[in-house]
Amino acid sequence: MRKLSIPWVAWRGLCYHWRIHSGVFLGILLSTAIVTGALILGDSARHTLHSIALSRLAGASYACYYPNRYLKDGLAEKLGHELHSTPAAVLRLQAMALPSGGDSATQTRVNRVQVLGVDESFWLITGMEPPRWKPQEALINERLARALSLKEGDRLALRIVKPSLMALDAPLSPGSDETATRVQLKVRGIIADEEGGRFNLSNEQRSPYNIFVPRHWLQDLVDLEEKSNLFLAGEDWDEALLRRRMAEQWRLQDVGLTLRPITGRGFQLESDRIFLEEEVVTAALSVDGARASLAYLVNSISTEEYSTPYSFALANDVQADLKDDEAVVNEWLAEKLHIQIGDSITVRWFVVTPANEFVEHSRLFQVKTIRPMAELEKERDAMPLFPGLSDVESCTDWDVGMPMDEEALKDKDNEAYWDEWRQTPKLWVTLPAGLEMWGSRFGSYTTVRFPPEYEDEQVLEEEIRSKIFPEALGLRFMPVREEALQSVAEALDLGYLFLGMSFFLIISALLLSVLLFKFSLQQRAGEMGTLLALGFPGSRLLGLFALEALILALAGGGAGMLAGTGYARLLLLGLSRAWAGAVAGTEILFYLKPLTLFTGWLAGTGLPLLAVFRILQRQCSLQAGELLHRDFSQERSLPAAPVKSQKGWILALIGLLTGLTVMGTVFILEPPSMAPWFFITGTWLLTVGIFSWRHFLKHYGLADKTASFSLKHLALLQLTRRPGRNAAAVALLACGIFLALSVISMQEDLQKHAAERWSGTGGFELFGESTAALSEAPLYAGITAQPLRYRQGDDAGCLNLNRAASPHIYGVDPELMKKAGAFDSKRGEENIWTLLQQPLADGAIPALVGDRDTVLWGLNARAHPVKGDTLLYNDESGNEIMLRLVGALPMRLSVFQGSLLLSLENFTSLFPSESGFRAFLFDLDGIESEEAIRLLQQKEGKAGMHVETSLQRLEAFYTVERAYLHMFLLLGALGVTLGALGLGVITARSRIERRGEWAMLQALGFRQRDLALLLTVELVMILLVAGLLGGGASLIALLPSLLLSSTLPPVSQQFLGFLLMLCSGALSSVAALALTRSRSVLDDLRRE
Amino acid sequence: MTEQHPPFLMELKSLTRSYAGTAGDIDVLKGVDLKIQAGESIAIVGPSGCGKSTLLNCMGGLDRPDSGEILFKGQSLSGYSAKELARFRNKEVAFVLQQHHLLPQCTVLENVLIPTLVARERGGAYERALALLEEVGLGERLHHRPQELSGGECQRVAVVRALINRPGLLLADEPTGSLNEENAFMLVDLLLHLNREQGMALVMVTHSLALAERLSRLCRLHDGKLEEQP
Repeated sequence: MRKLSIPWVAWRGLCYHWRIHSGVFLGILLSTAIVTGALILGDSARHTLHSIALSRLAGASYACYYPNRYLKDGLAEKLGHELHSTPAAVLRLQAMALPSGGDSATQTRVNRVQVLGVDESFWLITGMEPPRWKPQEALINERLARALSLKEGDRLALRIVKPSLMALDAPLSPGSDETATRVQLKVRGIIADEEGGRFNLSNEQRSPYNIFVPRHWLQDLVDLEEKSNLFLAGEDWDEALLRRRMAEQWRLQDVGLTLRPITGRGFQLESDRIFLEEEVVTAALSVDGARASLAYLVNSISTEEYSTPYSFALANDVQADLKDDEAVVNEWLAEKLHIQIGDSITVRWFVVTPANEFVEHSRLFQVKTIRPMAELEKERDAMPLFPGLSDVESCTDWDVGMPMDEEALKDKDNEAYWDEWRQTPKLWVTLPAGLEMWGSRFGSYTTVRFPPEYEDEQVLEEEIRSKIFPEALGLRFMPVREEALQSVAEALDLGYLFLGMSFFLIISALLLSVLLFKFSLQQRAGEMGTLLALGFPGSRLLGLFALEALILALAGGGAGMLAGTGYARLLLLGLSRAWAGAVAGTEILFYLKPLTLFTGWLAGTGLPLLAVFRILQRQCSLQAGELLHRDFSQERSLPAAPVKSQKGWILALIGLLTGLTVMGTVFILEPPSMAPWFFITGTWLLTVGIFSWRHFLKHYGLADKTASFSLKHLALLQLTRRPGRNAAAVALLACGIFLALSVISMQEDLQKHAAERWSGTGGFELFGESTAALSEAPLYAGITAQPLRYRQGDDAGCLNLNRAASPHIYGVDPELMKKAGAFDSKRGEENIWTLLQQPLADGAIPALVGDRDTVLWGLNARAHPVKGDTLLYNDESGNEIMLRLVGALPMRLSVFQGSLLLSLENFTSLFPSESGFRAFLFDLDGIESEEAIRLLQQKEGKAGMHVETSLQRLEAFYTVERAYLHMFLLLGALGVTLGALGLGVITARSRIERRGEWAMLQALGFRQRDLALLLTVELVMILLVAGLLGGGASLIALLPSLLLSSTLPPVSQQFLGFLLMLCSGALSSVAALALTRSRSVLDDLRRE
Repeated sequence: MTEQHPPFLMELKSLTRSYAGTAGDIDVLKGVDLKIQAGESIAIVGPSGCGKSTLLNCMGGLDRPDSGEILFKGQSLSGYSAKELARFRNKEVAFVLQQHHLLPQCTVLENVLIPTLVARERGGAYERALALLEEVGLGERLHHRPQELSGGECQRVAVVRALINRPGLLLADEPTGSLNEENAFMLVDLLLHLNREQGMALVMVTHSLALAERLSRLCRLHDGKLEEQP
């Protein structure tokens, strides 16, 4: 015989009571599995995002991105000169792609394709073998290959958005109609995501559409010889070294600045972007004798009788005593207008508004001086060269991006002037007057001229350069790898999200396992009493049963860990298929950390072990006699006679009022995240409700109700036998109902209010985005549009799992939005768009967040007119600016999800090079959506216009939420199942305990019907209380969200779900009763 | 110097015990006095609820009296710690209850050996268990589970379990209450046999006067006091 020992006895106990222990085991297994699975999911998501973050940077650790502007390739070479490696110069452009020979209107077209002109240095950073490609050959990434069904050797057509040195919106910028260059390419190969194919600077896990082409070929194609807009440095660099090298090596010409010698008059500083940046002007003007000037093309100069169109004017210090309302004219103009000194002339010119509207302004000047033409030979030389103006033969050939009067252009005198004098100014004004008239967001000066004493260009350049911080010009390498990893670290933790939504499920599982363990102990009270009577000290008894519990917990926890890995795999499978929307189609790879397993085990088993130990302690502290003889179907703490108490009601009332107060406060204050309040209030209401119910049962008795003693009353009295157990039954079911009902209530019918201006669509029928910027909104019959400016950044919406550092920005016209009443709150508060127009005291720029979900999930920030968080952003020059989140569009989901909204004015001043409009909100009148989409995509196909209904856009965003809701509904259903199971177990237990009693009732003449009534009343009471608690808690906890979202929850679904949940509880109980039905009344009586 | 043995194995002096009830305290024992000598057999009879089991529980260290004293081999139990009381129950006294309370998960032999798990001296316990089980006619059923035995057999196992640590006093609380007449007589025979053979004192609570009369002394618990019957 095996030697008898305490562990052996414990083991025998475990084996003998395997039925009830299986329940405990399963409960612990379930809770451990849920916790472990959720944690593994979190680890897997983090690990996947980490891998994606590294692969999307393709080995780059630092990046100097110069959007809409260009740097000399040579600068990258200089940075690496005599060092171990050279940063890669990349020309990054936008394009539309379609299979070769396709018609952009009818064929699959992919917009917003990233064209990357790269050379060997790029492949060196990625660690890949440089491709042996020829011009017009390209490598495409997997996503693009899939989208266009392309394979190696296929051809594709590319429409590359034409880059321009000058901002397209800038005055006097070339106004060519051609926004894109079309080219045919052969697919040299398909590059895998891990090999650099995913290259992307945005903090997003989704792979962009990428095409890699030889850089020199691309530069030639778009007339940007030796120019790039992105430098990349690998991990062998560090930030300090890059900053130092940049400061040492950059030259004016690298950023498009030129010191042009003017015959006999020294050097003049000019920019290939025409307008000089403020930092450059400040540095240049610090040189002794330097003088700035501003050239402009005015619409007309006229007197009352005479006028001349389109003339160059110059604002500078032409004459020391010139006043701001005085002008100097040339002899030609004086003759043309028949004017003399002292006469008045009117100057008219266009000002471009942030909305890209050309508004003509005029100003009156008095002629101070008339300059003879002979003096002006050198002036012509000193005018900056305007592309599209300076290099054409005739005025009629002028190609300027502003509206021009065709008839005026044909003015013969003006044509003759152009032939002879070209750009020679006709008019001079003071600098202050010029700046007032022609200064713009693109710059205030066109040239800075230096005295002839500065003969040595290099000395002069050094003097200017030494006064400019390269960072101020945007010449700054950002630690993109560090930022990417930071973004991953701050990303939405899927694991904790699941853990949070599984909270009530875990609680149910734990409650069930603890309850089962308690049943098992009660069942074995005689055993415990015997052991005590046989001389077992309390501590040894405790040790024996604790050992059983420990073995059970270890086994349940161990199995739970294994099941947790399976659960995680199942979740990942779900996330790759049915719920793919939740992770925007990203394949999350399984990743297991031993520490996570241990944490899951500890969390899953620690709590039940503690609870079980406490129960054991209490039971082991009982006297042997009590253990041997006590009726454990009755609660020990029950008073022999019920004492009337109002405490239960008072407790319930306090709980309810507290819950309502908290949610009322939440409704008024509108915190960024409702989720914590939902959980806190829900847990509070459930807890208080359950305790109140327990208290009520404890104090419910015959007392003064003897006169009305009935079967129903007897049934209620049955409930009071074990208030704790009945409260547990209610808790189990109420938790499940709370979770499932809440998830059902969170579902939203987007279509219902889509046409309303206050909804997430703004009431706009269509939403369009173009790859190339349009200078104005497209206008067709029945279609009106609100154009929006767009600055690409990180997606801060639900489709991006990373934490967005620099979200996309839309520039909107607040006045137009106000006028349309779009996206405004239904609650009649001050119009939200006004917030964008209010200047802030600390110089921060007011920004609205696209919707409430973006505030909560994408930015995890506070959006408030006074207490809003500040987001640090880089403007076009790389300067850090403060964006104050003054509010959010007042709906959970809008077409602007994941973005920030700025007023057009602020947008254009921060990002002057972001030309034109790239997003559009369309209203339709008398034209069907499909027809309007077809028309817009066809007519604006060259700009890569993609149009969808606003509802489709919302639905796409809602995919994420819907997928989460489906997942959580499953968890809720599991919760209800567990609750129903728990109720069944408790019913079965009570039934078994009361077999004798029932047999006795039958012996006393009770009919089956009477007993059924007793049971029904008991069951209905439990179901009703559970339903009331779970449903009520859910309703109150969700109330602020429902009220704020202005939408009604799906009431019919709620009701149906609620009924189903109650039915599942009832079914489980009936099944338990059927399973524990007695075979013989006599047996039961004998047992009793 | 020779060791002085106390004259009584156990002595109860003015034992009182009451329980809280809805209408105030219920005095169950109101001053019980009893002296038990080694090897004696005493039957305690009385109506239901008169406090017989309470008295037995106090004697066995399962319950503590409100007042009075219990001396075992001259030593007062009132000074015993919980641990010492447990040891006392394990080594010096033994219980046989109306229900056998055998551990269903253990075999007959294991059930008998359970008390040895917490005993200081375990030497020879196995052999003793075998011998005792043989003696009570269960030698063939060592590895059977309680569920496979009859009520009488289970109760015999419970008796053997009680004797495994050679107690000086066996406290039997209605040991025949759940047995039929034949088995009841057989069990009392066994108890008396062991009482004689092992020299162990026996205190048995019973309703049956016929069984009680087979013991050497008969006491009646009446109104919280013990009266010796002639």
